[in-house]
Amino acid sequence: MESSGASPVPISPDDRALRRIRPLHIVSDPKAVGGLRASAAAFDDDTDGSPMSAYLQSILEGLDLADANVVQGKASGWAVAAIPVQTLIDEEQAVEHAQVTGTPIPHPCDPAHVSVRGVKKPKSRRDRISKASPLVYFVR
Amino acid sequence: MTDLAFRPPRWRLTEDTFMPAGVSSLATASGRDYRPSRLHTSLVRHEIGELTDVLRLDPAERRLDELARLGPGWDGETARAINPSIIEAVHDFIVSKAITSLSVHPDLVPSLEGGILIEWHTVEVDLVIEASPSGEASYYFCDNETGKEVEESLGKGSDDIAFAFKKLGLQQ
Repeated sequence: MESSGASPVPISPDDRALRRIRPLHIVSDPKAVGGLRASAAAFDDDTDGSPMSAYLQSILEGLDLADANVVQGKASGWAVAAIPVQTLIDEEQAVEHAQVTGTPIPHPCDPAHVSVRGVKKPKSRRDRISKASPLVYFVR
Repeated sequence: MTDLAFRPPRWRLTEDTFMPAGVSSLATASGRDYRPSRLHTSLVRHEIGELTDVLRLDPAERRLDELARLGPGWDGETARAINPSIIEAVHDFIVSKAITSLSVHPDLVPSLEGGILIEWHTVEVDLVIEASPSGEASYYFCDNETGKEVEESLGKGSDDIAFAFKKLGLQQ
């Protein structure tokens, strides 16, 4: 996967970063809307150091795409978590537009891809991000 | 019968680790002779095609069985498989009387690094215990009524864990 080096898109703290959540990372929480939310484990970088990925909602809307498109092609049980960009800023994360290009199978959300960079190791940080990020779509 | 290599884990999540003075505790795993767990037995039998024991597992054990089968790259990227010793340790913990007596059952979640998070979330508290592949065990606790957060290695801050367990309650 390659990220474009095009001019960075300004990212508003009022925007939301939509993240794919796999079924294994969904937990019960009566405090969450619908009684389910993502585990803290869902908000980590890859083991090779690649930063956490998400898709910027404002860019998706400009492409006439919806939350559901983020998990387009995924099996039943996958979900989309909406992370407020302000929450990421509060948790010392930098959100950078990183449009995906050059993949063998392009995804419609590729132009909206963002990288979320910052230290994510404290479970408390990842759990706070999780608590602030409702699951807004489920693949049925 | 398939002869799986079986190594005792380097550390154990036992009731002793979690239940400090002030919280009632039943007989613990400390000092007992180590024996293959039900989960291990079920995995061995599955290796030779018998699914019956797997199907008899309760939901948490079924989830643990599912986690045990995750291979490298299970996330489609660089996620690591979970070491059988961690599976074993977590299994022994979740079937312990201290845990099964709680009114809230935990969710079991794999980390990308090859560990397991044991999570309880209620209106009053959030408690996440992490069994990491490094052999370390740690926890994160949040009292949602006061906003107090604690993140420590297991064995420290036992009062917070005891408080969380009391809030998670005993089954009626």
